[in-house]
Amino acid sequence: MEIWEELKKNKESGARRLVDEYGNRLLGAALALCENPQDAEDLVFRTLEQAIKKIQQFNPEYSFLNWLYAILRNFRKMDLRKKHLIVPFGSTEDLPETPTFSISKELLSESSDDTIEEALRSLSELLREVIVLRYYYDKTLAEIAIMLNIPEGTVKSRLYNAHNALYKSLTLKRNSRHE
Amino acid sequence: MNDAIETILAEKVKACFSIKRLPNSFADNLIASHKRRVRNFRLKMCGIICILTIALGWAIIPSKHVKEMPTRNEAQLISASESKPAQEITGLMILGILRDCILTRRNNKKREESSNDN
Repeated sequence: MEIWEELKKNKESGARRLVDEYGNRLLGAALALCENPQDAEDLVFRTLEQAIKKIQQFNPEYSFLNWLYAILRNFRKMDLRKKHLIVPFGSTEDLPETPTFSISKELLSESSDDTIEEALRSLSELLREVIVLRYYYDKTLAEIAIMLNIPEGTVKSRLYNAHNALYKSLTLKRNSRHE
Repeated sequence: MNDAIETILAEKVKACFSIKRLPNSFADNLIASHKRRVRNFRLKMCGIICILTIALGWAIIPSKHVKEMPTRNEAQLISASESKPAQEITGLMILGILRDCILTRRNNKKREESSNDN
């Protein structure tokens, strides 16, 4: 039985299965978006709570994970609005492309997980989100475009800019280590 | 971008954001929160229904106390009219009217059915 079917029939067992199957996957995305782990956990909690509440609205033609991610994203937007921060989501404009850099295999291999996490955190939320969807959820560019409701070209552009920013950040850190 | 680099980047990103896990009590808290919300919703609905019932009852049941005595002309008019004495409309009376309506409808239906059978 699909998880959404179980949720419709039995909230309790469905909720347990929901947490087991999607909880930690959502937490990864929430950790990437939020500044601290507590906020991330709270975001996942509210997302799953809303999913249980609104399960009747889920359309089985679409991916369940994408639906959950859309809820998480909406809550994140609301949080940012409450904090009077600029909401970085929803822009459909292509970002200006910066000069080409190529992130190398060696640069990635020699960087520790902490260094990469720092580099990822230094990215804007707009770019970090695309990186998370592409590499954490293994989504294709077309899928990301649907999830974020933006053209595929914009996704490519954001990914490209995220790679460049990562390259710059990692190179800077490597150089400072060598000095 | 090179596929090998994409693979390494995916591994690194997954390693960065997969460190933390949800606590074991997470599912229990989620279920408890859901139950609490459902209970609160039911309580709210009960409250609203109670308030509506009281308001409706208040509007239907007229005041029993007549503060002023009727004037002489009014008393003459009342005694002169042959209509039935005025009745107070109560909630029970309305329920009775509703019951009568339902019963007459049901009887009419039965009558129609029996006439069709014949």
